[in-house]
Amino acid sequence: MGGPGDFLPVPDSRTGRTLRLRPPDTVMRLARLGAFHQTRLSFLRATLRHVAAAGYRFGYERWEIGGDGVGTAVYAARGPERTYSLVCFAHDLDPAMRTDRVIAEAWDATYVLYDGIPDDGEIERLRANAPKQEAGRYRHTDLILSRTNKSARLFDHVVDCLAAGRQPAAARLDDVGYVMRTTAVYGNGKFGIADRHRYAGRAGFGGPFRLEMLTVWMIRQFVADLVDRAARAGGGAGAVPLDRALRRRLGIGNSTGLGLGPFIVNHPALFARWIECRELALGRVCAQESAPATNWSEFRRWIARARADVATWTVPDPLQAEKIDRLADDLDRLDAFSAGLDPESDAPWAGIRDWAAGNLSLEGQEFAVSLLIEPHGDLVDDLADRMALAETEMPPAGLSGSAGDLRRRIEDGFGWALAPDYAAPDAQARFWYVSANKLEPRLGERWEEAGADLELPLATGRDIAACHADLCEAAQDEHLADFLLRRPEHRHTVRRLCDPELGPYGQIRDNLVGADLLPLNLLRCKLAFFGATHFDPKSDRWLRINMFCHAPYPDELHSQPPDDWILPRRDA
Amino acid sequence: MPEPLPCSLNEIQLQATKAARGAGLPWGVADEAGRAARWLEARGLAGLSALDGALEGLSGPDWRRCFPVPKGSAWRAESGEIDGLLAGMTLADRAGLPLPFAAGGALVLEAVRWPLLMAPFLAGIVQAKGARLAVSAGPQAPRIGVGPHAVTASCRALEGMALAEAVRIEAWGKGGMPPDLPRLDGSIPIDKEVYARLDRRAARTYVPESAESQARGAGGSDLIETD
Repeated sequence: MGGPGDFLPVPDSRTGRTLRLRPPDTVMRLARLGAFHQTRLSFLRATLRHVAAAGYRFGYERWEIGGDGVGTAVYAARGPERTYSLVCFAHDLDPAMRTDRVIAEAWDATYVLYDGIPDDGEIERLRANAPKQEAGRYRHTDLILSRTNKSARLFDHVVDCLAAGRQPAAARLDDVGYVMRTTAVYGNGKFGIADRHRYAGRAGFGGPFRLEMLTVWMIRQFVADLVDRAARAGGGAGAVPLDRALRRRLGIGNSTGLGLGPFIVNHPALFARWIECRELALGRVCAQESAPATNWSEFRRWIARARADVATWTVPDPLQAEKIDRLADDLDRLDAFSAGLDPESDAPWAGIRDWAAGNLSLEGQEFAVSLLIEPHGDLVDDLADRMALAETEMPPAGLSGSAGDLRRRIEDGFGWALAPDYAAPDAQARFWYVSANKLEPRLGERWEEAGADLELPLATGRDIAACHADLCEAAQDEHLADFLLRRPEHRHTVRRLCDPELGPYGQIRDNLVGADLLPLNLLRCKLAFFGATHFDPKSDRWLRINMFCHAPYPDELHSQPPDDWILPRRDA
Repeated sequence: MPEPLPCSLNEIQLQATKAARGAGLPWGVADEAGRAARWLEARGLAGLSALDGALEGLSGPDWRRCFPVPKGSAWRAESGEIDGLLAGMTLADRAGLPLPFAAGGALVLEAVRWPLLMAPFLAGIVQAKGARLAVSAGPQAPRIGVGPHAVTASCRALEGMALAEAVRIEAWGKGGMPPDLPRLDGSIPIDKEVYARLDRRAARTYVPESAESQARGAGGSDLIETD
């Protein structure tokens, strides 16, 4: 990042000041997006802050889990205006059936987040459907649908330890990080459940994926209770419950494949809002001329916490392992660099951002963004509530401008899309499609596999370039409406380019079908916005993650700080 | 008749989008089809059924000839029959241009297949321009009021109408408009046969995974996560 001219001026609605943000050419590159880490604005952290601040109370509505670990449990989250219930069905799953494939047929436990408190009839309706997951049918009272499987590495081990009257070793818990993994968390109308607009207007749940995050967090409570129940069943009076401090070391795992990838491409305006809020947060922090002593010492403590946490982040994937090594080194250097700054007079926050841009790896730069934002909750937390878009039923009627106007806009603002030579085989080596076998997005090799004629519209750069070529051929004063009448195949591109909600960060500025595409970056970016940690790539197209690791549980929300657990204190 | 399938609006939209794409329409047009079907079903109007009917006529290679040719105050299609979805899109795209009904005149679309599909786009035009519209699908047909993202209950007359000889659009003029159809909020009852037909169209967008793709582990597909 070079001089001040490289920054993007954006008005900050909160202060009225113009902030200097990192420009889209810097931010919207896939390699950088794939180096993002969770921040204060991440959805699961924002959800926890909300339920704590709103005074939610959690309780057991029903606990009918037998000694065999099978049965039904219902947890209620009671807020000031609404109650949400997690309806849990625990099953006796043959280990041979335990697969994380999205299209599996049976799971260790299945869940529905229900709007209100379900009566017996509703529980029976859900019992007839939730265990079937995608093959079931749901109603608008059912908000979120999910399921989990046990970790073969850890679940039985923890239960056996507790049944024998002893606690499992912390190191063993840390090694895996969870005893159960979600294998899907469905929202927004899937299989008949509630459309997002039904609850998007509710206080605290308007932000993206908030109810999904609430569901996962409540599932974590159920899983902890299930472990204790299984230990009691196995060990009787000699069994002990899992120690609370140890319990907090367990999050909920998740394995994520390509299914997550298309979302941020298919929702460009929404994704742009997420990015803009994160950049606004960084911009607000860096606009401060000096650092108050408390923020500065807090920031320095966060660096220490980050160094300790990164030291525990180990993965078998050699590429990611190398990045983590480099990140650890980056954090050491960030610590040393910031120790030499005068927080009273050096505009330290902007100084750190700019120094990081020139000196650290992408992982290091983006981790530094998270750390710069971290001590500034008062300054940035309002942005977490601005990360959603109001849904519009139909796009605004009326296209404006001519073919020549749009052509010039593309030439001025989308050079990245026009740059590749799409006639070269490598530039279109891949194609995204929906698999007939799995009904999930997949990535194919265009020149080796059939089906490219059915590709998903994710080749944004190539499609912009194709649209541009036809705009060049058109009469330059032809109205866009007439252009689309002649060339309706460009409609998705014109809609994308003319979306009034699309802010400066509206497009990922990379070729999403090129031979060098690393699809993992798409997944990781979205997961970072969720608030996932300890990314553990298993190939270039799926990874394992952890959610809520070290967070308080619902049953201790009001005895533990709700938002001081990420990068945990190692002295705790 | 089998019990209807309760669907969410998002599900309706996705189903319609995929079916339209499966019928061979470009993604951008398919996206409009999905939004229009959702808009209609959210008001209790049989949008999916109309779309299914329309896709039958749009499945051929010459579907582009079903766009209206927007000239003068009487629009026709090269194919002889205008498609309602394509007519709606064409009208909405031109909301900022001088349309015949905006200046106190009337626009007549001749021979319109599945005219119900025009309604969401016309309601979008009213949203953008402010002036309410009156639509009639024939001399004997009831007058349909179109407001900002709203239609009157007389719009039900267009349900199941496969062909209107002429659709006339003009300003509503003075006088009150009957109440709009209320918005539904989920668990929309959908005819299972219609849903199944759209499912079959949607399935044409799916690609069988090749052995190479499965070997590559195309993203969780081969993931047997037992860890």
